Amino acid sequence: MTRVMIIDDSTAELKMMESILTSNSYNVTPILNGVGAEEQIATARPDLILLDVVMPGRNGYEILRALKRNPNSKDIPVIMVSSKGEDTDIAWGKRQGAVDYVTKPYTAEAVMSVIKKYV
Amino acid sequence: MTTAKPTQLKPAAPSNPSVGSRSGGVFSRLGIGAKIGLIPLAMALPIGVLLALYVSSQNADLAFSNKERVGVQFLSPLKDTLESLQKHRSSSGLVLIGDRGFVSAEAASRKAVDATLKRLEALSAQFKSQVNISEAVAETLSQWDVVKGQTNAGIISAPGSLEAHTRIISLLRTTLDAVANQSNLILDPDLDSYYTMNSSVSTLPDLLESVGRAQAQSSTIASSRLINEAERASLGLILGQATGQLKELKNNLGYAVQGNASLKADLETLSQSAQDKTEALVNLYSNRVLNTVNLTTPVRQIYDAGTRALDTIYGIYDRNVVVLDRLIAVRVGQLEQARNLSLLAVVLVLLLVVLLIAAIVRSITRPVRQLVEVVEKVGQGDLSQKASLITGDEIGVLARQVNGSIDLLRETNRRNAEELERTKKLQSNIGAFLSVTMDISDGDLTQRGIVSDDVLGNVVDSINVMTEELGYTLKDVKKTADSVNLSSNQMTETTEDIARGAQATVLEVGRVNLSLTDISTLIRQTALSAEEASQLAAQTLSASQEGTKAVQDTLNNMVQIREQVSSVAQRMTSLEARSSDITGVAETLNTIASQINLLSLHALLEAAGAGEAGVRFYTVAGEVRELADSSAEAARQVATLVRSVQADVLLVSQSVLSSQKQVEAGYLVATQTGERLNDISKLALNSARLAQSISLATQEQVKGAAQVQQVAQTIAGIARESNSTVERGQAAAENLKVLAGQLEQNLARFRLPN
Repeated sequence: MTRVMIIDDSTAELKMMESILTSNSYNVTPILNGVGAEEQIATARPDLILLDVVMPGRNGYEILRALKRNPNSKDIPVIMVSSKGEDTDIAWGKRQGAVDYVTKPYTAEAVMSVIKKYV
Repeated sequence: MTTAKPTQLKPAAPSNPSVGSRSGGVFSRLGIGAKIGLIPLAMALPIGVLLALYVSSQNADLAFSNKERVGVQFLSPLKDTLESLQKHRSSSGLVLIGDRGFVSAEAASRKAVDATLKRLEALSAQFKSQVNISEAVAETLSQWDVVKGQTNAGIISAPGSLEAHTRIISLLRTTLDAVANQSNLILDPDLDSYYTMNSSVSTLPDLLESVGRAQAQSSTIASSRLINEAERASLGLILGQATGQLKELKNNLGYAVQGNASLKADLETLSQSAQDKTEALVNLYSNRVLNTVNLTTPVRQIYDAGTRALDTIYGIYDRNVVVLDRLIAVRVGQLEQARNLSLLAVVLVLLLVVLLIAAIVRSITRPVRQLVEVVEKVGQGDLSQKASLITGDEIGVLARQVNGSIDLLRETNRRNAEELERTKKLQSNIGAFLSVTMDISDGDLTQRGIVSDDVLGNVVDSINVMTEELGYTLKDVKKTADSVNLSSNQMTETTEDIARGAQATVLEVGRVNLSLTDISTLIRQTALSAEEASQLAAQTLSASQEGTKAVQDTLNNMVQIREQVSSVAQRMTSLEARSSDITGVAETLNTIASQINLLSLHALLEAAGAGEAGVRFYTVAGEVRELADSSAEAARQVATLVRSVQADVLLVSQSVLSSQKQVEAGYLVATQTGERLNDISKLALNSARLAQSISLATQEQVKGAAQVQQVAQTIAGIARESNSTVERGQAAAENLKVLAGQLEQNLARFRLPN
């Protein structure tokens, strides 16, 4: 079963994404806030990471860069899921190493169509 | 030639059509309601004129009818005058022909004429402004006065009186026509009243006059009991006229009844009564006066029959006038009613119109006012209210548009507020980020800007990335600086060792040099001595042949030689020892050179690791290494040379020792010269040979010592060079250390990631 980690600072967002993924038969690990997420990822090595950008403490870009710097996690595809939907946001996110970018608010279909490109 | 200056076009003053311009002329200050109110007012002018015209036309009709009524008032007095005049005409005619039976009737009728004329006069005076018949009445009065006087005086014939009366009556008829004309009666517009009027104004007076004339004439004829043809023709005409006039009267009244059925009862009775009386009279006068030769009918009967007929017709006239008056009164009433109704209708219509206009104005102004209130509030920035009165007209469209605009404004305001909020948030984020950048620029590279969800987020993150990368780079630099520092410390220590070694080498070489100089000097001296010894040996050889003195000289010389050789031996031993020392030093030099070599190799590696900063040091370290190699090579050469010197020195030492022994032996021989002068020459020869070989040996020694000295000088030079190189290396290492220290100091201001 494909394992997906979701990192977001909103419990509601986590629950929503988890329900979408669970109903599509994914094994989901939600992580609230970004602090300490890299260690969990490096240990668990999921197949895909859905990462929010704006989070308190440690933002998504920082986490993404840390993941890409760590040999244990640099090959895990990361999809940014953020309310920051400007073209520059998407370009920056991809520049930081994200494979794709989903803009909030999203529909289950839109999210799944992106996720299925990678896992 | 003058050039035309181009006309400078002044820019038109900027026009601002929406502010301050007051278009709309005199009504601009009025409200819409007032303006709309002005429209019916403007329309009210022609309508009012039309209504006034209408009412005035109704009033004119009313005045017309009222004037008719004035005319009607004249009818009965005129008839009364006519009646009295007719009666006077008949009675006075009879009196004039001598019939005294009619004197009282004449007197009564005369009074009646006076009275009726007086009444007529008063009436004409009363209504002079409307119906002016004063002149005619005055004329009638004056003619009457003449006739009355003539009649009283009896100075007029009966036919003359008849004619005079008839003239007055004719005048009255004219007056009656004038009344009818002036009082509009002749222009009466209604069928019933017109024919009733016509009866009163024309037909009945005509009939009365015919009947009256018939009475008068018939009475006169009856009184004279004679009738001539002229009288017959006249009476016949009169009676025929009366019959025709009766028919006309009947027709008139019939037309009136046709026009107004309600008059049927009254007028048909009158018509019938007039017919009955007139026909009876006409029959009577025809049968008894006109168509008879036997005029026996008494005058009184003829006269009374006429009087009765006339009275009946007078009555008919009066009743007819009453009917006429009633008809006109009714019409006046109707006209008044119609006019009042019209006025009422006009008032009501105006009231309705006013109410309608008020309603319309209200229906326009109410939404407009509300719209204006709303727009004014909008103008003051209050968007809380919207137009609630949405009518189906253009104002409704306007209201909807205004409401739409208010919605738009609300939306715009909301967006502006959002934008403001966003800007505030952005400003706050920028403020926070600027504080972070200040911390970063103060050296804290662990600081990170908060990535917000606005446009700043990516910029902040890009700075974060740079800070991160800078932190990692500086961390690497710090690590390198640390290791350079460590290496330069080690290098400094090593170069110090090398310098110390080099200095020792130089010192030692100097000492060796000095020793070698001494050795050389001594060897040269030895050589000289050997040469001298050789010469002395030769001299001894000759001197041995000369005598004992020479032996003594030889002995003395031998002592000196023994001392010198002993000294050389000692020096040689010392030279040997020094040579051994040089070998040791050379070995040490070699070892040091190897160490320098090793160190410089390390230095090379470190310098290579230090990158750009290490380039200079790399070069230096390379040179140090090369020099160390040269040092080692030189040291080895020194060792080799020293070893050969040692071998030579050993040979020399052995030679010196053997010469010492030989000198000692020579000395013994010389001392024994006295005894063994014979052997002297042999010994001297030997001595000379030995001296020769000593000289040769010492010359070799001098050569070797010079070589050793050269090598030592080379070693010293190399050692000095090595020392200066090491000093440069040391300086470079010190410099490196200082630089590394500075770098560490510079890096110390950065707070770097763990």
